[in-house]
Amino acid sequence: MVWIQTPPLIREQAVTPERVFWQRRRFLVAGAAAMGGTWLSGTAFSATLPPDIPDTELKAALTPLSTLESYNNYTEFSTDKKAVRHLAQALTTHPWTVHVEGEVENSYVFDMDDLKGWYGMEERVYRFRCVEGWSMVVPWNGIPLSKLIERARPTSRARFVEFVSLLRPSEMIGQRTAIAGLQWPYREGLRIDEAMHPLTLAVTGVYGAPLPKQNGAPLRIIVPWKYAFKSPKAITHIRLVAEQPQTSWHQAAPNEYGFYGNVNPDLAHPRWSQARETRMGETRKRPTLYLNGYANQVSALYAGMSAQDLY
Amino acid sequence: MNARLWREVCVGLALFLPAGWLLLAYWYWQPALGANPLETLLHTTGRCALVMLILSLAIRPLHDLGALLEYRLALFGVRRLLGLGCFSYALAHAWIFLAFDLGYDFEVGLQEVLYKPYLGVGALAFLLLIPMAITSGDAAFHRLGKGWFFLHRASYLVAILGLLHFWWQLKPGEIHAWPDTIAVSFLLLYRLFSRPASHDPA
Repeated sequence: MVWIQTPPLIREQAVTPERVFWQRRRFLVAGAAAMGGTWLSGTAFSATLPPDIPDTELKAALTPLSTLESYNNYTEFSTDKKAVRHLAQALTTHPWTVHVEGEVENSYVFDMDDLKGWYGMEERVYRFRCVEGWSMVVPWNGIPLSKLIERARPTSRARFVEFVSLLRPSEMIGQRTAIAGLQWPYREGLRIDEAMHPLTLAVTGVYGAPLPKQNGAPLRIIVPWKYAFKSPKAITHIRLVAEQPQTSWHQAAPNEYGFYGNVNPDLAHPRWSQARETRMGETRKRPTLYLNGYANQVSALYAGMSAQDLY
Repeated sequence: MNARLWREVCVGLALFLPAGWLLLAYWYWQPALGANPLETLLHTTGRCALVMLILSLAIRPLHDLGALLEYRLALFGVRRLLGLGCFSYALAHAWIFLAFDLGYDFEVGLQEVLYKPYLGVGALAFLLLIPMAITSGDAAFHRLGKGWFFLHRASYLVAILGLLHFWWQLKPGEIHAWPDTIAVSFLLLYRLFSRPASHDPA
C-alpha cells in the first residue's frame, strides 16, 4: 500500500487568478484525454500524470452546506432530489450498530459512540461527482476505511468489501416498493485495495457537524474517484468477501451502472456524455477530470485494465 | 384597442412569465434557481415548450366542443401564440444547452447530437419547429393555403420527439414525463378518431 500524501491541513490561501484557474483546467483535461487514450488501448499506465489540483483551490470552491443538504439522491426516500431532505427526517439514526464481518479473523460490531472513542475524525475536502453529471466540493469528517477493516484482520481470502445499507421501510418510505428496479437494502462494493486506499473514507460528519440524515447519517462511505453511487449511505454492514459482490444499481440497470464506476470523461454513459459536469451553484459546465482529479493517487490500482472494465 | 388584440397581448404576457422569472432569477438572485441552476434553466424552458405545444394541440378539441361560439375563431389566434411560445422556449432551451453545457464547442456538440439519441431527437424537434414558426403569420397562411395545414401537422411529430427527448434523459425510476405523455396520447388519439372541421383541417 502506497501512501502518497497525508491528509491536507488548513493553510493560508492565495486567490487564484481566474485566467490561471482555467488554464490549469485545460492542461488537466489535455492530460486526462491523453491518459484516456492509453486506457482505451488497454496498455500499461504511462508515467506522465497531470499535477494534482492544489488544496487551496479546492477550499476556495466549497459547496455551501445549504446546497449539500437540499439536493440529494437518496432513492430510499424519493427520486425527487428536493423531497429527500424532508422525508429523511423520519430516519432514526441512534442507536445504530455496524457489523464488520466475513473473511476476517476478528469480526466485530460497533456503534457510533464506539467509533468516536476509538479514532479522531479527520477533515478531508473531496470532489464529489454524480453519474448524472453534477458535482460538489465537500469537507467530509471521517476516518480512513482501512482502519475499520484492519481492526477485523482480514484473511487472505478477503478480495472484496461489500457494503450493506439500512433496510427499514417503516422509516424509509421509498423502500416500500422497488423504485427504478432497485432491490433493498442498497448494496455496494469495492475491491479490497480500493477499500484500503488512504483516500477511501468512512464518514460521520460534514462541515464539522454530524452528517445530516439526507446525506447518509450516521455513517457513509466516500470513494472520491468514483461516481457517487459508489459511495453508499447509512451503512449497517461492512463485509469482507471472496467474490465480487452484486451491487444495487448494477443489478437494476446493468448497462448504465458498472461495478467499478470510475470517473472517466472519455467513457460516456449509454445515454449522455460524461465529459462535462455542473458544479453546484455554477451555470456553466466544466470539464470532468479523469478519476475525478485523483488519478495521481489511484491510477496505479488499475494498471492493465481497460476503460470499459472500469465502467 | 380591440378585444382580439387585447386578448392576444394578455396571453402573450402570460406565456412570457416563466421566461421573465428565469431571467430575473439569473440576473438578480441565482439561489432562486436552486442548487443546480443549469438544470432548472433547462428543465423550465423545456417543460414550457412542451406544455405550450400540448396546449396548442388542445385547441382543436376545445373548438369542437363549441360551447362558446363567439370565441371559436379567437382560439386560433391563441393557438398561434402558443405555437410561437413553444418555439421561443425551445430556442431558449437549445441556446442554454449550447452556451452553458457545450460552452459553444460546436465540434463536441455535433458529435453528441449525432451519437446521443436524446439530443438527436431534441435537435430534430427543434429544427421542425423552425418552418412552422416562420409560417405562423397571416401572410404565409394565405399564401400556402392547404399546404399550411399539411406543414403544421409536423407539430404531432414534434410532440412525440419532445416526449422521447424528455424520457431519454430521465434517471431510471423518475416518472416526470408521464403526465405529458398521457396528454399528448389523448390529443393525438382525438385527432385520429374525430372528423376535421372544414375550415381547420389541423
